[in-house]
Amino acid sequence: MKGYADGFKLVDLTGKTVTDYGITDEDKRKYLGGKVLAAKILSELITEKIDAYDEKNPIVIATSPLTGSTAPCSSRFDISTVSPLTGFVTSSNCGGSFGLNLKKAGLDGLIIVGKADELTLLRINNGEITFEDASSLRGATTGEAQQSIGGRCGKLVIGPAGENLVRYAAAVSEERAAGRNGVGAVFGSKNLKGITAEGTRELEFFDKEKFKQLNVKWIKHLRAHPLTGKQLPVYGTAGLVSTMNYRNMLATKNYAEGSFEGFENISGETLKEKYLVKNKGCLTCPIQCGRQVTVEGKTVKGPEVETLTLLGSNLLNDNMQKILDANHYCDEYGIDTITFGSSIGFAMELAEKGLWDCGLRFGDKELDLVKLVKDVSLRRGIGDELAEGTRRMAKKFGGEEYAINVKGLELAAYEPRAAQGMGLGYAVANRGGCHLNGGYLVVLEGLGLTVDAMTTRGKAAFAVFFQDLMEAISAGGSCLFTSYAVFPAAAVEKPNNPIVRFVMKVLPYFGGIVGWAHKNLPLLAVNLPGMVPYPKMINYLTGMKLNIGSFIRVGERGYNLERLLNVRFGLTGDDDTLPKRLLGEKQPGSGQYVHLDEMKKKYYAVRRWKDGVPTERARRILKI
Amino acid sequence: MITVRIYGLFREQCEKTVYELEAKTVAELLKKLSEVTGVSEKEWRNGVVFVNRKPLEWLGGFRCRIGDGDEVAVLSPASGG
Repeated sequence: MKGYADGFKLVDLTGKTVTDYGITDEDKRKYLGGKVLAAKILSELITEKIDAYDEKNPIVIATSPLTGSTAPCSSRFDISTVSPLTGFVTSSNCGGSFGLNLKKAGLDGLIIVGKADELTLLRINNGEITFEDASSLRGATTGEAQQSIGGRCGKLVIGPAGENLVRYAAAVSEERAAGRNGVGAVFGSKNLKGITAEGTRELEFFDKEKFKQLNVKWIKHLRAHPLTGKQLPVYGTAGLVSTMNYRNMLATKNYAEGSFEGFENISGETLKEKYLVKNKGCLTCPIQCGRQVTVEGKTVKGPEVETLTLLGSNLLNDNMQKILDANHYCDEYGIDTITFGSSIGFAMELAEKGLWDCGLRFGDKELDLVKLVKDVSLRRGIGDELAEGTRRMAKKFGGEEYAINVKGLELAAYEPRAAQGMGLGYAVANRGGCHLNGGYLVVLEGLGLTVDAMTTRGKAAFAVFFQDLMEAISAGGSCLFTSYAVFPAAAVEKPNNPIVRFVMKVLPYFGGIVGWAHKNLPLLAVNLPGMVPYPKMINYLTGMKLNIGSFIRVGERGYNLERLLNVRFGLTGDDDTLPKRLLGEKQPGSGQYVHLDEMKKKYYAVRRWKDGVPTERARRILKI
Repeated sequence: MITVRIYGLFREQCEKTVYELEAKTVAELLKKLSEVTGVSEKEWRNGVVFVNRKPLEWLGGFRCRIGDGDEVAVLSPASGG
């Protein structure tokens, strides 16, 4: 099929063998690519519960049809595997150039199993895969490893944290990380230091002219939209900090509070005015939300909103330079900034409550975050405990009610007691406390639109709808930030307009209709390329006949497939919950806690799930 | 005096990040803000306003009364409505 490369290869590191892995055209139509296609592959390869560090645990690296197509924000690829943090199936998306180069090398994806005898580098050149000894790269940071490999190939490597099985180790391509849920540790468990990819394969288009025309329109739309054309380019994701603070959504002091007195010092405005060197985005991205800042005299990648929050307000730290330094070292040593920050915040609270004498305390001006990055990555001193994440720390030291994780994955920056829909999303997300996998309803609840954040009405249906839309967007190969442009510009730019205010007020009452529409997606057999361009773009590229309904159904299929895999691993509806702090303690700012049970019940109904498990009917409808 | 703090894209249009102004309502404050910054009143009225950290929609909208010592934050709408 056009738009794809020449399929997947299955690499066994134990026997150093490479075989083809069959993906049919029907598979491509049903699952598209990325994490959804990866879920299909994992469901074929994993037949019983296995540990993340089991040699049999497959790492699936998947590109998507739009990867390498020049579509905006399409230099994405996905890594799916069993997570060492959650013990469930996870996926992590990355914007580095590795995915583009993998496709140029002739592969849509890689499946890696087994364990190498020695630290190994996989090299892919025009479809040929070779195994190279990487002993000389042992202990190398992600920057050092990529520099040492050299050349113009795409690179994907782990740092010392991955080698030392830090449970939230990342895999890094250039400066971009597949950060969440410890995919880097799975690389490390297989003695896999990294992968390179290069080649000359050109992508074929079903209708290149129409693809180009729509591409131009889409780029114009993204550049004209207030979120993707103004806010993100000017402030990056960091620009959300101030609003989150005023809306009591800024995770503060290990999620005890939703706002931070020193927020101005860690805001997007301060980042731009005092620290920004220039913008730098992923390849083919017209948004350019990435920040470049100075650390130790070098220009390096700056922090996202999640990092500013988890290493800032969550620790009562208002020292921006400390966050910039730590962010850089997290990338270099290869760890996820979110789980790292949350683990430190939890340790601080354990120390405050006398449960662990770790020497860390909130608001400590002497806090040395860079040293902690190194201690965690090298598993030195208290770093060895922090490297396990909050769930395992709680089992050892106590404090489970304020260990801020779901299913073992730490929550992102958004405090959900002041954003009920986000609370639901965190609780039910397949991969644990992830804002994106949860449907990212904070964008509706005050960070993009102005839907009442405190109401639970309609949130279940909206969560399902946006989860599946975002799954589909990811499977197609686009950055999720492009989905911001789905919202009408006027609704974002004129929140006080009487019509906009009215629409925002009544929107939760449309939850029933959204839920009904989601259950009847074939009725959405239309295309609105000016608003939702993804299906048409994929059609022009591949020759498929997607419409909005069938596109979202791909996402729904992926979400259910991941859920079924996790059920195979023992997941039940009881795992779809939140830390007790968020369910039982009223937030000081809003006076709220998350009213999860009522939303969860409705969520399962919209999904056709029973006790968190897809029903036979759901499976039949989705053909899984 | 009312302390007015400016956030988001409004900062790109203003010389200062904090203004001290006198007004009896938020509507009057935004009008004065327009006079001192040169940014149109219409644009300010598209902003997201918090009075003493409470969202304006909880306080009755632009007619909300304010006084000496109050703190008003105005965020550009696209910085998270």
